[in-house]
Amino acid sequence: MQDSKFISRRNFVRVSGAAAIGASFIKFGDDLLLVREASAEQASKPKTPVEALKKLMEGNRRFVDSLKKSPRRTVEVRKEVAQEQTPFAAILACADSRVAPEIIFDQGIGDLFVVRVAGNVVNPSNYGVLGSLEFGVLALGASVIMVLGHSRCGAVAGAIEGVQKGTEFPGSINNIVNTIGPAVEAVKDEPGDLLDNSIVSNVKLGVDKLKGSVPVLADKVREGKVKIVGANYDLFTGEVKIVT
Amino acid sequence: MSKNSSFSRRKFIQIAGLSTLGAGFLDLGDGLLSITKVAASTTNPVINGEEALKKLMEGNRTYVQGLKTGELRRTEERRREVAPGQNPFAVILACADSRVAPEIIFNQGIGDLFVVRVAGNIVNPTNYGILGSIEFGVKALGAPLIMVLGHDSCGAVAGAIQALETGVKFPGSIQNIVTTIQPAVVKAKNQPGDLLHNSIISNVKLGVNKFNNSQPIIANMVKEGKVKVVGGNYDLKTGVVEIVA
Repeated sequence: MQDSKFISRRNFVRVSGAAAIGASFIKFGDDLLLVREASAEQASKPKTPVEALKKLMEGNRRFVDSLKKSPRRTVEVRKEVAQEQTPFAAILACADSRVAPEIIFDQGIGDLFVVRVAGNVVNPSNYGVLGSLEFGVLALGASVIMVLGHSRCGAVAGAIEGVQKGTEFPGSINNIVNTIGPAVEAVKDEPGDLLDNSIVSNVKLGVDKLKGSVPVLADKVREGKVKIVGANYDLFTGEVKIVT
Repeated sequence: MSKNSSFSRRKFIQIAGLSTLGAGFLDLGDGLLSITKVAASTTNPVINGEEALKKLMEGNRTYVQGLKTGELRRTEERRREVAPGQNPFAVILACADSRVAPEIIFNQGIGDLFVVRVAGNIVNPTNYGILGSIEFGVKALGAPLIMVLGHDSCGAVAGAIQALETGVKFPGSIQNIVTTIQPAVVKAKNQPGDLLHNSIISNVKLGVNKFNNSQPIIANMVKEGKVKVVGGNYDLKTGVVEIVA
């Protein structure tokens, strides 16, 4: 337990280095680690959370305007980033086939660390989702986390049916729906479209949970090293709007 | 429980339909359900698991060659075509690693792949978000193929090896991910060759196995021949996906 609290960034760089060049790397000394850290810094990527968010939104603008560059998807880039990944943002999006972050933000190979799960749900018992985001920030240095919901989300629609009719869904789908339930309850009496409102409410709930998440993310947010934002994607227009 | 198991496909189509038409849809009758079914099936033709796998691997081949055939399906027209309803032909469980975007490495477009991503592409019922997403992809959306996709030099698997060998503990939920992968490392430990590579393959096989036996949904669909579960491994340098399970 003690160990886990005080593990250094160096250890993470070590793991992420191992990710790049294989387990044998673990046997190398600190000099090599420093070299790798330095080369990561030289890569042209946003240096602050604000710059990272700006780069994301500029990419989305290109997508909306049909001016996509589809950048950094060549054989050369693939080989270059095979050595080491330094994504500038971590995205938690829905598993929906229409919401691929690389496409809607017009980014390439190695740019986005992407976690995807139906209804973009956040819950500590789902340690896979939370731990992935922690890894993206601690080990890889992503400076912005975006929770990304989208219009017409089936998982949120299911949660509404669960709240209104008590419908139970089979298998683990029901757990997902139940996780979204409180987001629906929170906006149940608000004017406007319940599905749209619940989708935004679910994003806000996710952002709140991540911001309050100890022992990793809450500290990073307080130190100003990481910015956590929530956004909503429109399936028709392709536009991403920041909602929190 | 019995309510759960007798849950009909119709209910799912209702939800899938909801996602396409908005909450007002709940008030409409069955006639619209069948319209939704038809509308959904036009975005991707109905195919079986074998055909879906072939389509994926063809896409990977063009990607390896440096072609961007997937761009044809990432246009404004395609976005508007699938906005009313998704009908993905495969479900992919991949790593969150920024170099392993399934849409890119399989050269697919908007609406083609239902994609779940988590560090180390782990499968575990505790992580109901992951399992439930995959269940939704095959049961509600009718995708005939699930692929568990590992990749070489995976940091999460490297972490699992390190934790096993040195006892190091990682902070927060990262440690839980690493612990979930450890049985795969233990299995690969005495195999000849590179431990990291062997553990990555072992982790993919473990995931495929868990899906094939996952109650109450996926195991039955596999038995009925409605879903095929395969494991793949992606090479970061060459871009090649190799089927390993």
